[in-house]
Amino acid sequence: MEPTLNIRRLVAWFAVLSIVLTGLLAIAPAKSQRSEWRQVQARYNRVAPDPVPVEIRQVWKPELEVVDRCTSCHLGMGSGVPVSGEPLFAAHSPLPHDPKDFGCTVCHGGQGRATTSDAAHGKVANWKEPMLPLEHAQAGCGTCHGDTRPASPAAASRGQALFARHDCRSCHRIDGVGRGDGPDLSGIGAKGYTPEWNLRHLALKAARKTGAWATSYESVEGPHVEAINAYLDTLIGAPHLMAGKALAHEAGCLGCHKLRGTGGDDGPELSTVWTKRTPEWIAEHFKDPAKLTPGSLMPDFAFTNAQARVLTTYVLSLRGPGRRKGEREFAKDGATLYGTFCAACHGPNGEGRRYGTNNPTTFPAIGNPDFLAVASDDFLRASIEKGRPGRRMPSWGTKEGGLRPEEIASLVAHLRSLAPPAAAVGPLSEAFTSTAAGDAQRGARVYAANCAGCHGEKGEGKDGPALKNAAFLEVATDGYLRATILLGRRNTAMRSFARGSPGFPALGVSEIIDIIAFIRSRGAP
Amino acid sequence: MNRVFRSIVRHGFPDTNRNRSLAVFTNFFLHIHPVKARLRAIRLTQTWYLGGLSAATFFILTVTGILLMFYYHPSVPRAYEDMKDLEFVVSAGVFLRNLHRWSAHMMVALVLLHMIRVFFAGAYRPPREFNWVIGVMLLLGTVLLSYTGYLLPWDQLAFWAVTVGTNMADAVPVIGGDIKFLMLGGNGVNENALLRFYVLHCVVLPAALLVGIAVHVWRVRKDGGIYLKKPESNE
Repeated sequence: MEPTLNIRRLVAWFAVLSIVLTGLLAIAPAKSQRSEWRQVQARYNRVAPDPVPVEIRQVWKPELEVVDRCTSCHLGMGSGVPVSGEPLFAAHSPLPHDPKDFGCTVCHGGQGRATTSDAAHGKVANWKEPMLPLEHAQAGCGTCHGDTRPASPAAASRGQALFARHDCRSCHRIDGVGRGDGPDLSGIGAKGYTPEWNLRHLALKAARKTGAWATSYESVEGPHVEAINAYLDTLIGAPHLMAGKALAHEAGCLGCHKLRGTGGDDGPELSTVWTKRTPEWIAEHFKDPAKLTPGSLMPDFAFTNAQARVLTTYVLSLRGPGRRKGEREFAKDGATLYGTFCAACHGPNGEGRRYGTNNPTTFPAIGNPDFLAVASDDFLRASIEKGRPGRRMPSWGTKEGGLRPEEIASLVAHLRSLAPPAAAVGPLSEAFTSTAAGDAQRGARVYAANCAGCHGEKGEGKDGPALKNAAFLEVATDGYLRATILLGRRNTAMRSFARGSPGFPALGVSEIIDIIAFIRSRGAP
Repeated sequence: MNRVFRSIVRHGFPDTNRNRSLAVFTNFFLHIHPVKARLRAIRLTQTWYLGGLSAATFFILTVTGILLMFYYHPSVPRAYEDMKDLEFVVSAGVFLRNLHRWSAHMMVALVLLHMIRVFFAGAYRPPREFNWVIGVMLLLGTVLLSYTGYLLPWDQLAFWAVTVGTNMADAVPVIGGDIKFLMLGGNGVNENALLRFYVLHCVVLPAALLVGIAVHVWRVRKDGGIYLKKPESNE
């Protein structure tokens, strides 16, 4: 018996399934009619006085590679009228760049093409540039203005004081502070100005014989103009960013970290930190590095919350192209260079530092007057150039991302300025003129009794600096070594061995010569 | 009016065997079917319709693929951005992409299941051994379509998948380097590779697959229809 097919039943099934399929296919277009941005615009039209057409809005700037659809929801910053009391529809706070010309993601980060909240704000897996938190919004300036340099933090703060002293505020306002109706100087560093403004002011004073001009303006002398200009340079409308940048160039970050290829080798490159860490992590890390990175070599600078915040803003600002690899962001004066490269280890004024929890390291006090009295310029220059191989001090003159000869020269000049000129070393002159040859074996005994406690049994360095270091022995002359042992270093553990002290009798010239012979014999390769 | 209708539909209402037969073999789309089939051959459990479903996914992929081509530029700066636009501003763009993607996964799975079914039914034996070979080539075409389509979104996943894939080709002795160069149109996964994969994915492979499917179905008919284990049994 051949079974038969119930054609009608099959046709019925086919019809039902076709209708179900059509219904299922209709879900997708229906869903896109109820998308997030459509609902937001519908809400806007309920609360705003003037309704807007419901459509995607975007800022399209091909030259900036910007396609930002943020204004599809943030209507108050785009085509709609701001609605008070509705944060989503609020107007943007005053800013130098019109979002219509620059878009939003250039400064804020995030995903401009996205039209859903999470995706637009970059809260999606692996999105390369999540939106900057609002407190670090000024880091966005770094996208284009990475080259704004903190002229010299010291000069800028002097300029700020002079700006107040000359009462420039009687005519100019900065960030709302000031009086009078002269030009507002907030953001002047980004807009640019005439460096010879004093001459212009004088000309204007001469032209107008009456009123505020005639009575208020007095000529400002040249060095003050320069200092004030250094201050004006920092006024780019991003005080947090500039504060962070200045602090980074005082704290000595580049002594260990590279920034676009320039700096030390002990820490990670700074311009890519933002790709790996969240802003919260960076801020926490500034406050206590070892807590977040066990075994971190980074000293605990005891930054305050506010300092950690502006430093985080600065680190996040490095995401922009800014300067190219090898270009210098920092100013070239000795004080800035010292702050940028040396201060973290040797202290802001060269007073020396000691840090590390497990294995504390002592960094020499290179601003010590006794040190500067015996160290020649050649010694300083050669020490910076060649460093101390095997120790933390890099060879700044030869390493990749190091310093240029003229920069090292201005550093040497700055070190000299840290201490008053040394007095001549009179009564000890015999120690310097003696030509007797030292005996390393005898020296070993004297060394063990007097020096090994701090410098290590073999001169490898403990609390005191390592003496068994080829680069050190190359740059240190016998005269330098003799003077150091004889005079010591005030305010450090290194006492003067010309005078006796409890437990350490005074050493004779021959003993000192023997010690030096011993040190030299240990350091020989 | 009647004349126009008759010029298109050339048979009467299909309520007689003759008209039913005419309905099938005067219709371009239906004539790939036999006019008569054994009831056992069209039962679901006989074939699970795996071949037909594979063809159906190919049809869906063609339609959605053409729609996607309207929004897609095979160039390095645009390709990824076009993905984003499909995701965020094209009406039902996400649906379109997902339909294409899931159908592609489905097609690979269905073609494999189809081969397994045919293998265990023993349907590759004479006289169908040539059609088995065509089937293997169609599997290869399906996998290549899947692979070439993988690069087109131009995201990290795509880039590295194709980097790995072409490096596997590179490992072939002697001619490996040339194969890799030929696949990528250069030495690296760059705009040449993207263009090459795009043309392969949208033109060469689908056209080849279409011809292959036509031959495959034609051979099914010529080899006596669906393979049934006991053709002599009369149910």
